[in-house]
Amino acid sequence: MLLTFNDLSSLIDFVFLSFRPANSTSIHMTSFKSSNLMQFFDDPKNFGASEVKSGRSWTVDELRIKSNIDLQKLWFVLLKERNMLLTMEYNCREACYLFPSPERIDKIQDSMTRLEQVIHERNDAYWQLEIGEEAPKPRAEKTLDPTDPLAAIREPIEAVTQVKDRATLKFQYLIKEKERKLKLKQKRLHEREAAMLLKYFPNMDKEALQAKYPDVNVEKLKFVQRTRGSHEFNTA
Amino acid sequence: MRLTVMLSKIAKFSTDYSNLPESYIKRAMRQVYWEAPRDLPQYLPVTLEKKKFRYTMNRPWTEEFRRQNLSRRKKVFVEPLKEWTFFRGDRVEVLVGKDKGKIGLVSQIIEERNWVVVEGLNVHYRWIGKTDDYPGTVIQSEAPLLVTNEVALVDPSDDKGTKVEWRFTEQGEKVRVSKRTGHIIPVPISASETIDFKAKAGYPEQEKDTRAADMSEHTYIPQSKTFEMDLMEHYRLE
Repeated sequence: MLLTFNDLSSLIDFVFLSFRPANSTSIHMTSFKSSNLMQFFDDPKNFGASEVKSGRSWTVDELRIKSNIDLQKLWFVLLKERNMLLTMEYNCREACYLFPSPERIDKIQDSMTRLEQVIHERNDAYWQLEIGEEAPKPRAEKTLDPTDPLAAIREPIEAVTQVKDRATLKFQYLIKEKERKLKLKQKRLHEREAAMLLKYFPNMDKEALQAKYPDVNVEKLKFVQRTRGSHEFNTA
Repeated sequence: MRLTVMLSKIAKFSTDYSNLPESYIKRAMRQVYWEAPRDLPQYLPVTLEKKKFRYTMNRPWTEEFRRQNLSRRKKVFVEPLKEWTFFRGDRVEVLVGKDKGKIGLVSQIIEERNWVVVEGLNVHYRWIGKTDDYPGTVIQSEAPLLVTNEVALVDPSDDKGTKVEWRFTEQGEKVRVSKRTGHIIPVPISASETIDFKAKAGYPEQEKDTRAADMSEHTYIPQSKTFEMDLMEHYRLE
């Protein structure tokens, strides 16, 4: 979402004010404008709308040219927008109304992630130069490797197999067997799919097929019964 | 082969045309059967969710697609293509069906099924809004055509369908060349069209959008400081 820097004065007020409890004896919340709470909600003309148009998210290159102060301001603008969208989403769900354009939340999230990435790059540059280490990441990223079938338990496996005794050796043997079986299962599935594709599309581009299934030997598939269709193509 | 494999099966064109972030499409398509509670360490972080989707005429982030994908259906075999040669607004000749030989414009592309929808051709009629006493209105709906053998790009020199190849010009530009005549078939302007705009220059900036001038303004001066150090100096907190 491309957002403006226009509301900076109200932004600073919002960020640095402390909230007072509603039942406190202190009179009025002097520095509060009633519109500040309404900032949690969307523009009233969007209430009940089926669609709210918005631009795309910030790209990394666009963020890299901005100064640190600008990035800080942008972060809070994005944060406010995100809070507003999440409030609207919750309330729409409670009231059984359609929440228009939910992709706005994902656009904001992408912008914020990339902003953090740019800041990390700048910190990393300083750390590598002056300290000789990589800058610490505030949030530990935990993305699992999509090609690894045992990705969810890879960390515990590595932790357990540090000690080399009889039990861990047996465990390692069994884990390797499991991985081997899963890999074979995957390969057989791909071979079956490739054979069926050859059967249904006899004139297809074999190079495209090989590119789609790199672990399958497409040449050998013509010896397989499954590739035989009601035609004589792709058979030995 | 889980997780991101699901998303990789959605073609780049679909995400480009929709202007939607990939994470939103993934979130909208997701059908989770069961997810282990992440805060309880005795459970492995597994998610049982639908992985095999059948791509239909409805776009993957729509409610209709979700309804069509609630039950498991027979597998669809889609021929893998090396390169995609059809764009929105292309002139194509239909090679099969009752509109055989006719030329039309491509209005929709569904790359995941190797489909192309030609405007006004290969149509069938269906009734909608039928009630007990009202017969409903009849509308025309185009059936998709397979890119491999049911449709051919039209050669602009002789207005007939040809087989097409991607080749490089002397300038290094990648172009589509008709195999029969050698004529270049240019990519139509409406190929870069999206749901939100017909051309990037014609996009009307919304209220909350950053203006193009503000966005391209260069304000960063690299200094030997971390982000936090720079801010502290600026706000004079040291």
